[in-house]
Amino acid sequence: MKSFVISIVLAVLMGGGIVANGLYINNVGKKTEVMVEQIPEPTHPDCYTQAEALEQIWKKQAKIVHISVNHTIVDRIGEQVETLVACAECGDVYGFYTARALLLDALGDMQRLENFGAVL
Amino acid sequence: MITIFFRTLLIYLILIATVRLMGKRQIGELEVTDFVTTLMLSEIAALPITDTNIPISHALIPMITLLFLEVASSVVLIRLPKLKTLVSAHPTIIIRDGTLDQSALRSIRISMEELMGEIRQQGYSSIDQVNDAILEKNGKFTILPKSQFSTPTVQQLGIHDQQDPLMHVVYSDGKCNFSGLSIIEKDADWLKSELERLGYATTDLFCVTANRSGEICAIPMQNQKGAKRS
Repeated sequence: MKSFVISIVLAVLMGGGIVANGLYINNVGKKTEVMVEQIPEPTHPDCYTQAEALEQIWKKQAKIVHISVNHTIVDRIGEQVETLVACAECGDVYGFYTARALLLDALGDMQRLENFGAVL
Repeated sequence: MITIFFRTLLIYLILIATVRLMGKRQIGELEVTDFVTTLMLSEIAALPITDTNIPISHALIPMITLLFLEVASSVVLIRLPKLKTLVSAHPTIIIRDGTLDQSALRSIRISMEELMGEIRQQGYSSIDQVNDAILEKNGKFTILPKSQFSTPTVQQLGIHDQQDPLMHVVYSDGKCNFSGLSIIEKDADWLKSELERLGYATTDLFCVTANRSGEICAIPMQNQKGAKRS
């Protein structure tokens, strides 16, 4: 009976952790998507500043996201953020939009595992 | 994480159904749920070791889920015996009162060669010697011979034999085993006096076993004299 109680407690704690993690990852994903979409194209003077701000925020978030998201996806997001910053700095409009599209896709992949759609 | 949790649950249920459908022979000595859990745990535990892209949480979540499912299912199956019939197999009687049940043999998908092999492994040369043969739910065979081929018992031979109580370890690794002593309802002082009577010092001994009747078997350290029994 003791092991049953312990397993129930663990399952409840785990369930709470899963829900909290799901909410956190979806929240981070959506906030980052909004930030990415708000960055103007490289011809705008604020493009590089906002891209750098996104990079700083992502670096902090990645430390926690790493706990539950596949490292491949996290690394992919990091790479696209860095590409975005580089394109913003050198004014590469084509590269900027490509990096933005790939970044949004990677953010979608990150949130996919926290939704029921990926169960099957 | 939600995906991994529900995938674990889904795969667990699918595996139980699959192993249950495969039949008793495949699961050996384990219950179906134990077998499935063992299979899955070993695979899950290996994942983050071999693939460094996978965070540890991707192994922890399924393992805790399996732990909960395993413990919960065993508790539920004890409380609801009818549900147990869905998950665990029944023993199948293949030979009853010396008569082979051919439909039972077909239902468990065993050939006559396999059945004869099992009969021989249990020491009988012919199917005629067997009164009952049962395939237990753990996949093992129980062969019960006809009375004329069975080993006579002490009772049948009319021998009055005293039941030999179980021996328990009461001294090992240089110390008294108090749990063993409590099982045989003795104490350390009794053990010390018995060993003195046998002429042993505890430092000379590797292990001592004893039973409720007070019999002692002392095994000395290597390069000492052989075991003494009181």
